[in-house]
Amino acid sequence: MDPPLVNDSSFSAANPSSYTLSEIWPFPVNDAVRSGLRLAVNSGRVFTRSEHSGNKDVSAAEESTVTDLTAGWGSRKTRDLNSEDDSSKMVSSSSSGNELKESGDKKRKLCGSESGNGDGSMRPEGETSSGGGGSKATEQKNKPEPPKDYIHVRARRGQATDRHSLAERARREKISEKMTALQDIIPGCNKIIGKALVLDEIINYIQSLQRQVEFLSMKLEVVNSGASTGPTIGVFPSGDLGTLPIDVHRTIYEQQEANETRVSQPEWLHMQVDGNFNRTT
Amino acid sequence: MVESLFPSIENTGESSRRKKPRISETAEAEIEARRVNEESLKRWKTNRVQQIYACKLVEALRRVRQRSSTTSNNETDKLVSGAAREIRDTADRVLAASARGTTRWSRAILASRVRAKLKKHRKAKKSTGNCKSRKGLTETNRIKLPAVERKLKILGRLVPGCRKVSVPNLLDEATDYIAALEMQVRAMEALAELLTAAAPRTTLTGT
Repeated sequence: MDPPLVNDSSFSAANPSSYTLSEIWPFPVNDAVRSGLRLAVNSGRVFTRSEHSGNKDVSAAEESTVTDLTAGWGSRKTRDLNSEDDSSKMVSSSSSGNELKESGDKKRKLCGSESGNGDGSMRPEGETSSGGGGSKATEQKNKPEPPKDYIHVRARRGQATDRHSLAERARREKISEKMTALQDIIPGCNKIIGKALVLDEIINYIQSLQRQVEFLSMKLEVVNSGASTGPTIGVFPSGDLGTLPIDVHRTIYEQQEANETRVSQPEWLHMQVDGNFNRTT
Repeated sequence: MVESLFPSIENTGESSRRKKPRISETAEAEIEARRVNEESLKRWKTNRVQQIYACKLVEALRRVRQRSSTTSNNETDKLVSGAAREIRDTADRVLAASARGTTRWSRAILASRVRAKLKKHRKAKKSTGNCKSRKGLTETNRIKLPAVERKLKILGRLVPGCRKVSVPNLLDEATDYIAALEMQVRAMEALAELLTAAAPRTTLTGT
């Protein structure tokens, strides 16, 4: 930001080479710095808001925009103020009382010119080039769109826009998607509404399937006890399946898939059964 | 001098500004997970997987029968329930093996076999009478969970190896396990029908 214009009257004619800081900078540093910072911060906020809204009137009560650009303003402001308070202490210790009075008068003049938008007015960088209302609109059009890396969420009144709440919302959506996938698998579960009832149906269905497996295993045991042993098929290993590691299983299955001929299931099973399960009378 | 008094806001902000992870990476991971899940569901519905499972089950049944045939006829009545349980265990193990250890439930079933063998070698722990009373007290004082959480806990117990799993992963495992169970039921029903049909046919022919 450029410093405001300083009149010739502020320089002493007797000694033009040696100037003190208070003569070059005609008003107290502390207030000026703070006012400048406020202007800069406010202008920054306005511009980020206008970039993302895209020439739409967004009322603060209706919608709130969350961008990454406005994330760290508060911390920056405090840091800058702390650093500049030290510098202002140094400046005030070097300046004398008379100089402060003069600078106070000049400050009043400058404030008056600021209110009238004169030549010596302090403007933030964003507002210097803007001539009127039309030029602002053209500026906003010329500015590029925000990059896609920024998360830009618009939430209505009452909807949270925190990171935690967004993550929770995403988690809930993921769970609901998987619940719908489960509903599609389970027969007669599409009509049921509510997580608890859907989970009840899922539990009942799994239990019924497990009971079916148990019943079929008993049935197979009864049939299997009467059947005699036949010649073994050479595809499978003679060892127990459970004791083998997973990689060995994988190799066995790949070999089996390569060796298997594509036959319809009933014929294939008949071949297996007829070859091995012959009852002796 | 003046520039030092007015530090530019852009320069101060760059150090504190953090880069957020891109949304595209997480979205890609989710899409990949969905694709894998859909493929596994389709795989369980194919005829080929059912054939492989039935073939392995026939082999396992033959081995079970060979073991049971060595025992005498007097002991067979006692071993009926044990044999049925053994057949069920072998059917589950074959199912887990046909899943190729890609899911938690299949790995849990395959690992339970090893645990069962290890338990035989260990000595049985002595149980004291005080433990029962303590358990009773804790059960009465236990806080009731909400309905959904309670049912999710039950679902976690039903799906093997999913007791301490997050809700989305549990639902994924449940979908895969249900599809596998359906395939197992279909294969076992077909096998049982064929075996029952084969038994009277062999007696009629006299072979």
